[in-house]
Amino acid sequence: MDDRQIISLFFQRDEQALTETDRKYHRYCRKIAVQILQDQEDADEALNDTWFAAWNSIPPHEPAHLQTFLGRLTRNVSLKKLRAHHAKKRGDGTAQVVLDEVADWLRTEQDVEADADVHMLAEAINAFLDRIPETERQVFVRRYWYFQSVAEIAACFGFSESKVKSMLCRIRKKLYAALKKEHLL
Amino acid sequence: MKTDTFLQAVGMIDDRFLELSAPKQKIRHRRRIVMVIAAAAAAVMLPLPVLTAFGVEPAYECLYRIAPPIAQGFHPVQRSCTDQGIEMTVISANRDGSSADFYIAMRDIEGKYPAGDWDLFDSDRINICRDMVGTCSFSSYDSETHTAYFVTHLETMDGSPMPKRKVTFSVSSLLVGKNKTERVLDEISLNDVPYEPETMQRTERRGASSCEPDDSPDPAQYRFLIPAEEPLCTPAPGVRVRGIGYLDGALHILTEYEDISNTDNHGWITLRGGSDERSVISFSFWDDAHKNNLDEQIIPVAYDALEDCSLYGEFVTAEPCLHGDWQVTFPLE
Repeated sequence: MDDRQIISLFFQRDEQALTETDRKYHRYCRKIAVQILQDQEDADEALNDTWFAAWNSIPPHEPAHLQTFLGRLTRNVSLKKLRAHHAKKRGDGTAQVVLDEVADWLRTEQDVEADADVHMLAEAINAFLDRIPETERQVFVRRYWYFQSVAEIAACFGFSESKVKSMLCRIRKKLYAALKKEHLL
Repeated sequence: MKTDTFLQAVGMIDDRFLELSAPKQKIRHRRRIVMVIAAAAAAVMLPLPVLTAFGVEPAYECLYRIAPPIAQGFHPVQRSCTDQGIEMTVISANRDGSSADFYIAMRDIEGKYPAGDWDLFDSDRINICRDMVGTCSFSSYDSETHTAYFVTHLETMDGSPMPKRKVTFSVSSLLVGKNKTERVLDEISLNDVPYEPETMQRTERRGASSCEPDDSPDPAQYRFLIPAEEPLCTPAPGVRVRGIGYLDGALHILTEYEDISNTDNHGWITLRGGSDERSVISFSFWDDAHKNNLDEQIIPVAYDALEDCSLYGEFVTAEPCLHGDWQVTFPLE
C-alpha cells in the first residue's frame, strides 16, 4: 500500500492504518528504536508508542514524507524513553556513548545553562550539512540522527573505525566553528 | 548549549539529509484537500477557505457550526502582515495539553502567482521560549481566493503542559505554483534503447539512494550516461530526460531537474510492466554550473524485457522561490 493510501486511512480513522504502517515501516522504525534503546523489549514498546503518536498526529497533520515523519517520531519517543531510563540508571549503549560524546564536545567555557534556539540551531545545522562533503554528511547523520555505532558506520563505508572516529572529530570541530560564527555557542 | 538541545536540533534536520541514509522514495506526496475529505479531517480542513474570505468572526462561527468540539478549543487570532504582495494571517490557534496547533493563511493579494500547492521551503520559524518540537504542513490551496493554508503543530519536549505564551511565526521563502505531473513518457520508446552507449565516470555525487536503508552505493562501481545535447523529452516544466541506455544488466535513465536550490524540482521515473519489484539505485550529481541536478536511475532488468515495458514519471515542479519577510506574533491562549 502506498503512503497516500495509508495516510488516507489515518484520516478516515481506520485502524487498518496502523496495521499497514507497521507492515511497511516496522523494520525501519524498529531499527532506529533499537539503536537508541539497545533493548528489544524497550524498542517494541517505543514502536507501539510511535504508532500511537502517529494515530494522534494524523490528522491534523498530513506528512509530506511518511517514512521520515515516522522516523522522527520513533527517534523522539526513543530518546524520551532513554532519558527516563537514564534518570534511573546510567546506560551503556551506543546512544549513551553518543550522548556523552556530544556532552564532552559541548563542555567548554561557555555558559552551559544558556540554551540556543532549537529552530535556529536546526537551521544552522542544515546549512552546515549542505556545505560539507557528502560522505561526511552521511557519517554525521548516521551517528547523530540514527545513533549508529562507529563500527556500523565503518562497515557501511568500508572505513576503519579510527578513520570514522577522526572524521567525526573533524566534523564536530567544523560544526563547532560554524555554530560559534552564528553566535549559537 | 545542552546535549538535548543539540540532539533535538539534529532531529529536525531536513528530510533530504535522511533520505541519503534511509532512502525509500523520492517523491514527496502532497495530496490536495479534495483527496482527503474524510470524517473529522474534513471538519477541520474544509472550512479553511471559507475562513479568511469572510473575516475571522464568521469564520470562527463556521468552524463552530461544522466542528463544535474543535472550535471550542480554538481561539480566533487574525494577526497578519504583508510582503511581496502576499498577506500572511494567523487565523486561529488551539492549545491542548502538551501541544498546540494554529492555522495560517497566505494570500496572493493580486492573484499574480500561478495556481498550485505552496511550500514554505523550510524557511518557517517558530519562536517560543521553551524546548519544543514543531512542524508546519501545507494543507490546501484555494484557487478562487488565491490563498494557501498551512497547519502548524507544536509540542513540548518533556510532555509538560503547553504554556500560555506569545508565539512568533515567521517565513522568509515561499515556493508557489508547485504542481505534480504524473504521466507515461511515451516520447521514449523502449524498443530501441541504446545498448552499451558511450559512458563516463562520475565520482562527485550529490546524493545516492537504493532500496536498502543502509546501502550506500559507490559511484566508482558504475558507468554513467553522457548527457545528450538535446533532451529526449521534457515531461514537466524544468524537467528534461537527457539520456537513456542499457549498461551492465540495467536500464539507465538520466534526468535533469532545473535550478533545484530555488525550485525544489524533483521526481522519479519507474519502469512499468513485467515485475513491479525492482531494486532501483539512483545517483544525483550537480551539473557544471552547480545549479541543475542530474539524476541517473539504474534499474536492473533484462534487455529483452524492455519491449514489454513503459516509463512512468512523477515530477514535482514549482516557480523559483520568493524571498520576503513575513512575521506575525500572537498570543497562545
